[in-house]
Amino acid sequence: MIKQFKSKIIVAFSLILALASCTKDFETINVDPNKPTSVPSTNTLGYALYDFTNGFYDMWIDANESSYANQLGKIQYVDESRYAFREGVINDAFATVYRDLQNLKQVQKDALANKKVNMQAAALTYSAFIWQIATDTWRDIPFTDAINAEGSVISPKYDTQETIYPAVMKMLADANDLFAQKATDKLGAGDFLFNGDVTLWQKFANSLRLRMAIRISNIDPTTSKKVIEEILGNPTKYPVISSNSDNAFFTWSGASPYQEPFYEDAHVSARDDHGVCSVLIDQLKAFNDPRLSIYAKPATNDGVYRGVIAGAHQSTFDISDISRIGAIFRDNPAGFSPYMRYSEVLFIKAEAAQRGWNAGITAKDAYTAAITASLEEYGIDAVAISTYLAQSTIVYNNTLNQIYLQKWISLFKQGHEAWAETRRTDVPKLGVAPTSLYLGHNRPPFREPYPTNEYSLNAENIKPYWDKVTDRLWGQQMWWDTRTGVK
Amino acid sequence: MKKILLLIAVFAIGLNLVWAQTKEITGKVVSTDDGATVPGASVSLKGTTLGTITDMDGMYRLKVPQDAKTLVFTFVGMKAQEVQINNQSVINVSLSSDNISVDEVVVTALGITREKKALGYASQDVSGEKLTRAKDQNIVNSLSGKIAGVQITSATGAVGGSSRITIRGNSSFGNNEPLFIVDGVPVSNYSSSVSPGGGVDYGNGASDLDPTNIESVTVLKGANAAALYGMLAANGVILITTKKGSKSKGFGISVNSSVTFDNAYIIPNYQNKYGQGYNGEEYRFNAYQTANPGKYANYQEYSAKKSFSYKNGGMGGGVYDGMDESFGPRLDIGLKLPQFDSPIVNGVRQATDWISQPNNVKDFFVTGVTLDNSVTLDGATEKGSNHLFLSRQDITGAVPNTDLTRNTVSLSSTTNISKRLTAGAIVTYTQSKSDNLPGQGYTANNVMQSIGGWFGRQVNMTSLKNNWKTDNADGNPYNWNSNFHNNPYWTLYKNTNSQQKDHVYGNFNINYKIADWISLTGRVGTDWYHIFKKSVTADRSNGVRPGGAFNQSQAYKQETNADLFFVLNKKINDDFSVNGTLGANYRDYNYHYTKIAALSLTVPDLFTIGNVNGNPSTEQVDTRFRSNSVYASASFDYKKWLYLDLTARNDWSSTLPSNNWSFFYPSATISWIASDVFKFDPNIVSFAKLRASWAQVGNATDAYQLAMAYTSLDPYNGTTPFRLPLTLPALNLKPEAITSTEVGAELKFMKNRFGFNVTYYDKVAKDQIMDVDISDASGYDKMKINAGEIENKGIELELQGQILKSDKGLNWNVAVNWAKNKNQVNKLYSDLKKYQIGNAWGITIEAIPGESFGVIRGVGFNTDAKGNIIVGEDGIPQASATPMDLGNVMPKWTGGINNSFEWRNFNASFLIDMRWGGSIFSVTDWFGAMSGVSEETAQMTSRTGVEGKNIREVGLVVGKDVLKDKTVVKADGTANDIVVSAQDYYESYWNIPQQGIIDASFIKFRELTFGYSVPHSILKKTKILQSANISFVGRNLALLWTHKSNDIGIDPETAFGTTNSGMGIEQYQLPATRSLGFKVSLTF
Repeated sequence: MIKQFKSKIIVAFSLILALASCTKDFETINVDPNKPTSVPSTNTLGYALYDFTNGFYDMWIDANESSYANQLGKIQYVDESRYAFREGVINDAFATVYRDLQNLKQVQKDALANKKVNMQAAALTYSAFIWQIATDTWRDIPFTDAINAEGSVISPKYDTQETIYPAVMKMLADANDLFAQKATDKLGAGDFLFNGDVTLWQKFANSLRLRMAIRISNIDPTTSKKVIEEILGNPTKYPVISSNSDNAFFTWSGASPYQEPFYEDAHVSARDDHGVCSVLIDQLKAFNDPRLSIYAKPATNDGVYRGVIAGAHQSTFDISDISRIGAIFRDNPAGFSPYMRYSEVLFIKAEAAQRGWNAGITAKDAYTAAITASLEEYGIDAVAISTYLAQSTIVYNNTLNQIYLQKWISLFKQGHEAWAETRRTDVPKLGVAPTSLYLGHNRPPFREPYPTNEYSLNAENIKPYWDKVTDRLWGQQMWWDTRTGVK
Repeated sequence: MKKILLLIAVFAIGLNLVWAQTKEITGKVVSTDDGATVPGASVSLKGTTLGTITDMDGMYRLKVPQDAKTLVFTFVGMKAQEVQINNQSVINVSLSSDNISVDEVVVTALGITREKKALGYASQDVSGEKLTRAKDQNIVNSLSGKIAGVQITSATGAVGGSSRITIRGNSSFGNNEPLFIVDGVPVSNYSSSVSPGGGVDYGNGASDLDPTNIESVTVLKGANAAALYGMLAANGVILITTKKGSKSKGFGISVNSSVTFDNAYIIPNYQNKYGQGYNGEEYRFNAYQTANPGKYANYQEYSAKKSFSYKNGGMGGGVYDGMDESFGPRLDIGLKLPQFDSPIVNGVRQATDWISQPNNVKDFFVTGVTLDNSVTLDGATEKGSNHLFLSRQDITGAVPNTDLTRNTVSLSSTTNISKRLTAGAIVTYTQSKSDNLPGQGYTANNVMQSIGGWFGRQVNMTSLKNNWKTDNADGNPYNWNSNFHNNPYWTLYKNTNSQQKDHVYGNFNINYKIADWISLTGRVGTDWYHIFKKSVTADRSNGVRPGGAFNQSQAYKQETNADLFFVLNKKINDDFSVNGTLGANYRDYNYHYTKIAALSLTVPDLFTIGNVNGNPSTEQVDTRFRSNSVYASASFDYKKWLYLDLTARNDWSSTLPSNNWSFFYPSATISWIASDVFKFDPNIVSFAKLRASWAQVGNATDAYQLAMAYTSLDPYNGTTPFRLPLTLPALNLKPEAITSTEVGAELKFMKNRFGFNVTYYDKVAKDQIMDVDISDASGYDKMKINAGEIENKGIELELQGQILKSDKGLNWNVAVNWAKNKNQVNKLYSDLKKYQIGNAWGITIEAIPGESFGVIRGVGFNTDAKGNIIVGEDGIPQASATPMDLGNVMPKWTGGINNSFEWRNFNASFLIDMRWGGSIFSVTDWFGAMSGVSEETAQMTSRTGVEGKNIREVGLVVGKDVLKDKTVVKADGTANDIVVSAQDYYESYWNIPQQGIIDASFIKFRELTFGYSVPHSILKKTKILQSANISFVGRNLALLWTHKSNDIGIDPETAFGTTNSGMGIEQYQLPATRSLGFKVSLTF
């Protein structure tokens, strides 16, 4: 009898074992039914456009860099205006840059494989745009080694801005060459920037290259001149932004959750932390500038336009005495995030011409056209524009400084650019926050702090660069920042 | 495969025995003490390997040779008895209990009952009676302080909140929660997604279990104890046995009823000297007057113009009425200012008395009531037994308008189909419903973020309560500050988080006794739940888009566990016997989740998706995985004083790549009962045991971790953005491996009057499957890899003693448990320097090679070479340039002391529970200073010349008035003497999160019970009652001691949900509650 049991037991157990080790469904079971492993490129392009804009044209990066440029200033929780930044914001910003570049790299890879030339060029252009902002933010960053975790590079080495700038400018030249092939592939519904208009993408690419060229005009005038003359000398081959309707503005959907970040801050998060800076308000007032009432709202207390000193101690002013940011920048859920304006291209032409380079236009004409374009952008009428231009303080006086000042005024809500221009030109000459967290400096920050995440996760590579930074936000200047005596 | 064949061979040998039998003896075994039948008693023929065990009714049937002489009857905890057979064919025996060696019986893996002394590993159990003596609705909390080496952290005082439980420290970067097994089947201890960033705590899965229906809880602490449960058991097992039908025939009813009252008892320490606003301190006023002589006539005028004046809604239209700090004018000195509850006369808000409201936070909380009723029906016949349990809890919280109603029906039934075949089923259905549960963490949904942290100390809570349904004259909801906050009553009555949870678990089992020594059990268990949640945010709430918003989700989970196993129990000769199991498990896990949400609505406050304004936001998750396992165990027992247990298991998991989805792990334990060998004098050493064990457990991962898959976002103008994953998937994962070693000793003295149990363990977790942070510049945030090695070493100590022992007089028992865990992260991955476990406000909780799990890092004070804190020219401490180590979240040790007393029919007990060491980052403390609400921000100075004045009047000197126990110097190294404004100093906390780190040590008065059992003499007269008890119960009676760094006075026992990410961060906890109540238990 026991033998009978034994055989039954062994049969039963063998059966159990056979069932247990049955793994034939395992691979199918482990396929995620909800997440695709490949998607149309346009949907990923759309992601990068949205994500970068959301990350860099918001209250934490854009508005605070506007404060470094003395266009805005904080009126409550003034920390950022006195350079007390939030580590999390910096870590997030750095991550956003590379996350979006990684997605754009995938778009380019897929586009190349599927011979989608326009898609490849658009992704390349937008990548260059992100690189330009990133290097102007942190100077030396991982570049050649970056976005290659698939290639097992998890601690990418850093490259200097000196090597990044030419490489990014080359990316933009390559993008133009791709667009020039006049390929027929469509960018699709994910092109939230230009709605599939490939020509506008091409203009944006060339205009960005102009921006980068002029930025290095003091440190590498030879390259600067060569690039600018190459582009401006051949408008057919290198079309650039040539009217306000060509402006590279990311226009928000307006439907939640895709609402313009300044709007969201004010009307969803109910924050009221930023006013317009006194340096900008006072300048606009001095010039009787019609943009005053566009950029700023009168103070609720007395109806006067009054700015805040960036980083002033809160006990020194009443917030109801301070002008807030103008409605078109802050009160429209379907508002815009300006990447690049027509007026900027004209100011670049003016500066190039003033430097004696061939911009195809005189410095004066370009300067006047630039101001006109800036005013027209806000619908200011022709009469008001000519009144403005006729003022002795506005009439062109053949100095770079005048171009610089007007350009700075025009770069409203472009925190990175306004701040970069003040670092390059020192116009207007800015001081530091009265309550600065870091003492002993005579200019607003030279850079954003390196992220602490990099300090712990990529320590060896960042160390020599981290050491060149003083007080997290100063130290070594940008490559293109040739100012002397600043600290 | 070879290993499996080997196992088969081992068991085949065990079966290879031949014998003959010719006559049958039957009988019944009962207990001398109460006449109850004794199931599971061993009946054997002396000098042979023949034997059997008694069934549920204490009956046995054994075939023996004709010439058989003596039967031996043994049962754990009873004296063995030998009976001469002679010519009897029916032998009934009565066994008496053996008080000298009360061998406890414990439930081990697969529900097999074993003598505790046979175990070669630490396991500790708590009876259902002890759990419910001062019952906590969450069974996890009931274990607090009762088990050495188990750390329980309950997440504040929210109704139905979850509790984190870890056994022997944290050994994983992922899940550190033990496995919950109820009646042999895993029951998920799912937890909600509450985190420091905010959320609602919907409770953990185990909180669905009603402790009243629990017979016992056994905690299998190490991997050793758990090897047979496989990969899920790597963190230990909480083995729960529910009550079953009574073993004696008949019918019984028992009724339990209790009512308890919950009150918030740990409220932070607030100041009551200065109200809401900015620049209101006299120090600033004086400076202003000096700089602007004559601008304001007096402090009253200055206050109204420069510090605080309320306009409609507190939106910032007045004077700093949009601020939610309490750095405003001084209270209770006769100032009059326009406030949110001041009357409006002719369109002008009047200035009213500016007075303190010391109890405005405390008064917000109400008395929560818990009504707990249950009925148990038990019945047994020869054919089987039945147990029906019905219970209902109606709970209202100490947070207004929060509630939970829970109904439980549990049916357990066993049927003896034949002598050999038994079938049983246990099904428990629990339904939990809440109309509203409070929000937690840093979110507007958490009322403590507002009233407990960013608040005006002058705000009259009664005004908010009486008027929350009304609007201000300007149409804003009636509120003290609409810039950042909702009226807290609005939050709780309008922005509700409701849920309904239906949870069914149980199993069907069938047992066939193939022979006396071997049986086959088949069991299919399910764990099934459906959770419906809906959170709504009313139109016009702070921060909501037009129309309001809602979020509705449904989660469905179903898990099947099917087991088929043999249990064998073979006596080889008088000295040697073998127990074994051999089985297989099939596990299939299905989870489905869908969410629909609207961020803005067309028709206000109509919370339905058709009413969405803009795009609906949706989410869908479907998860499935499967695992198969085979397992075997063998326990060899030599003369009942030496035990050797071996286990082996092989798992196959669908979540791993095919080359690695099969993995094997063994364990071995040994237990030596020295007292049975050396026969010590029981009056001195009554029991002595040494044990040792070694075990491995493997672990797989979650579903879908191997492929590069895109994530979608909400559609943008109809186009769905897709992005790459943030975590680079791993291409070749292998299973995790945990190796655990432990040794221990158990000693009992003076006829078991005093006992001592010590365990040392070392647990190493290797090749963990984890997402490690990598440089963002790589294109990914994290990568999934096998990495890391975490080691936990520790000592656990249990002491018990009957201090006083007397049959008629006072009995006093003391039980002490203590545990120390030393944790070290041995390595991470290649040159990876840290792994981030959690973060908040620039503070990170990290694992760093060479250090203990849970290092707190962040920006701290800038110090000189001597460690002195340096202040800047402004007299305010400077921040360090880089983040630094600020402490560790892990406690140095934990312990509990339980005292119980019995005197005649009265009994009493109290439990003291403590934790020493370990830090937390308290946002209540940190922001409490920054917002000027904490007591310390308006403290008195003892500086010479200004003694007794408030620091807001005369300013403060860092190092003298604050940071008194630190040396504070100026840049030139000399002692700091710079007087600064209190407001400036406390606002500087922002730059130095170190200011929010506190020591989380505590001593708590956890439980108190006082009971009376009606004497039998009286019960007899009632003729129906078998027992009747009434008791007074109290839980969380007092925080007896907390560290001085906890000057804010929060509950240092704090967590968010059950996950790692909530460890060590306190963010506006809801006040812990004290429960006091009465309980009546009746048995018929």
